[in-house]
Amino acid sequence: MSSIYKYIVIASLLVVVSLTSFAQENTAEKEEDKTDTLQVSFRPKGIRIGIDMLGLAKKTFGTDRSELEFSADVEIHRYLVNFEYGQFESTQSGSDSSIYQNKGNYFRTGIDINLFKKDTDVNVLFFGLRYGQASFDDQLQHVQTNDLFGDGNFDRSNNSINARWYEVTSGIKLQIAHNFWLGFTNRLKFSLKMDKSESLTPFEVPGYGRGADTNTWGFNYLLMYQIPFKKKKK
Amino acid sequence: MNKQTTILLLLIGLLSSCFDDGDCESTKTDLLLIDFKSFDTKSDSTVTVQSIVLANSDSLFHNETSISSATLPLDPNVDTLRISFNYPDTTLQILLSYTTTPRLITPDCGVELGFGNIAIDEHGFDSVAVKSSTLDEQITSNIVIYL
Repeated sequence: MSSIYKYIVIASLLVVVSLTSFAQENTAEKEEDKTDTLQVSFRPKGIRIGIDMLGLAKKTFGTDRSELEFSADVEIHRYLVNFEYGQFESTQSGSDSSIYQNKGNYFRTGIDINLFKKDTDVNVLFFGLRYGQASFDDQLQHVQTNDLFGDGNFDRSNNSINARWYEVTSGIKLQIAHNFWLGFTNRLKFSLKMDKSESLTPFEVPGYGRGADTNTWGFNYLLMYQIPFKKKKK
Repeated sequence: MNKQTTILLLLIGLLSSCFDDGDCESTKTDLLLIDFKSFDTKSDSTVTVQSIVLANSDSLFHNETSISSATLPLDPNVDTLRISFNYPDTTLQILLSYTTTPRLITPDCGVELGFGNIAIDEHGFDSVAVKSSTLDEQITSNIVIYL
């Protein structure tokens, strides 16, 4: 998708965020007297665990890329403490008959803030930051054609390459049933740092994307379930 | 939050999952750029060579010409390359070492090969210097031979 579509999507998201926040502000003003009397609770209500359904679909339908990602968050007042863990495996066949394979895992951790000021138990419209780290092995099989020196076989690999990066996140989590949420996370990933390798330059970094990109976008479509810390008193 | 807003948010999220940027831009090259300069004045110097010969190749480069620079391909299948400069009365050689690092640009674009860590292991000239140890189209000089 060309970059202009990116900006349209980003602009649309920002507009929706603004309108939704504005709507909340108006409603909040009407109920100002009520909320003033409520005490803010910083006690977590439960841990919300989730699975990325896009990655699950890719794994289920047997594409050449498998990315299974789990998430967990704990909501403390309007803040969400996040931990995400993923397993990645891919095989890419190049147009020049090269074969690139990558296998590894990654995690991300960070904090989101819920932009909703009321009904924070139900829906979440968030903005946040992440630190990500990946560890992976990759290998490339390639035949280099050369008219002058003759063709040569390149069979290169990396073991235990480490990479780290940062993300700005935004998205929503909507309660669809009791203790169940559906949502998505948009990720602007940047500042990738990776172990230097003379053998092979990694094409992909698990959890990040293309290793050559100084910044990139990511997306998760999540189904989540909240395990309550305590039952409500009747 | 009403239903329309909810559906819109979910659609925006789904749409943004289609991001897939990729292009075949690459500035990597296998061409080594050699400049000849005067040892005394450090300015460009012209030299007449009968030929330049690369090990592992039968090809002759710059046959019987006066040159102030030479552009020579490196062999991707080895990590050292001997270059022979044949003059009418003598032959001078340079032994280069380097690394080759492949990278899959994208599955559609295929693999590019990066040459780096170029070093001079041996040479028969008065003085030779590495100006840039990587091969890239944006680099104007890799090695300077002072005559």
